[in-house]
Amino acid sequence: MRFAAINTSTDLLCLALFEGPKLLREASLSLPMRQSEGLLPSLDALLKAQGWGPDSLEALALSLGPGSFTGLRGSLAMAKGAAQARGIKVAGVGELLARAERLGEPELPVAVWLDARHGQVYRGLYQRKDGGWDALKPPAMLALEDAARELSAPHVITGDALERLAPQVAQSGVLSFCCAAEPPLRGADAAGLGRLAWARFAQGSFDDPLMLEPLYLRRSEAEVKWDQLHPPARSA
Amino acid sequence: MPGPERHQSASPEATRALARGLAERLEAGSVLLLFGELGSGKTCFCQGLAQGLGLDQAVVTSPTFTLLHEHQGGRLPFYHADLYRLGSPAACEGLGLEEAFEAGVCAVEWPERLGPLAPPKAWKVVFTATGPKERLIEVQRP
Repeated sequence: MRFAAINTSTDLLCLALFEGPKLLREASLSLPMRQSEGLLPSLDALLKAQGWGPDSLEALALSLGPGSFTGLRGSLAMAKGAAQARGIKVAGVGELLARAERLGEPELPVAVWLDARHGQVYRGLYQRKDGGWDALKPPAMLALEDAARELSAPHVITGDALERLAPQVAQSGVLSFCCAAEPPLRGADAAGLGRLAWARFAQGSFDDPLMLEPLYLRRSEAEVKWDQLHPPARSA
Repeated sequence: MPGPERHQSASPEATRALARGLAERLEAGSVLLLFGELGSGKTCFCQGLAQGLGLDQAVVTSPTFTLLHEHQGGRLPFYHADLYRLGSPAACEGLGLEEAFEAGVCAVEWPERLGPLAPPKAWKVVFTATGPKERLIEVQRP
């Protein structure tokens, strides 16, 4: 099965082509605010370089974030269109888990901290188990101090908060007993995303493209208002 | 912090010229918060910024209905936002405005809507009409 993995959750546009579990080709471009514009031409170029026609893709693996609002919306809209028009299957993967996956097979549990701005982080906590990952807590948005306070035992910490909130991280003292992931492994990629998606594709597990939504972890005002105006119907 | 620079502008062209000069002092990540009533010169000022960044000023129009205009091709990407029609900081967030703040030069009209999302290190520019064409423009550096 041939599929593409697409990660637009940061200001990088990350793409990868897979044949089953095998990564064949990967590209990352820095396109702040312009991932949507670059997405289709870049995917097209990657397919051509691989000698694959546009119809060769059976599925798309997508990062659902949390991350760039504009980036996530662009790739999800494209995937939904491809699913409608061509019957391409899709699977969404949470970005927090994808960052843990980049670290390979760490023995320690992994704390993923992505900068959510304003001193907050998107936090994921994972532990390797039987070749997969166990989420130790549901993903959440927390103040960095609270995310640091959760860690009482050694973890590997990864994510861009290590750089972007470096003073607060240093002040929290966690690095005295936790280790920071190597800088080149802290960012977004498409290869890890593809590996996680393949674990699902191989079992015939896909997402309903029309129901797929970015994982913002904080809700937009439009959604809050919608729910106020449309309270859930009570079941009879 | 020194007080704001005060400029008297006698015409829209003078407002553009002021902004053209200011544009040379901006860098990636510069955010300008533009305060002033409708018609006080904010869009003229943005046209001057665009010119100063090496863009065609004619393409700069008010983004009141489109919320965010993006102009590429100059010395830096230029983002021009008008938040007049937005209700709250949460709506600004959905617009991807915080990403624009980091990606280039970003000028924001009606920045009151930003609330806590207003970047602490921003230029503040206040426009006051002092005559039919005359404007007082106060520029506070970050």
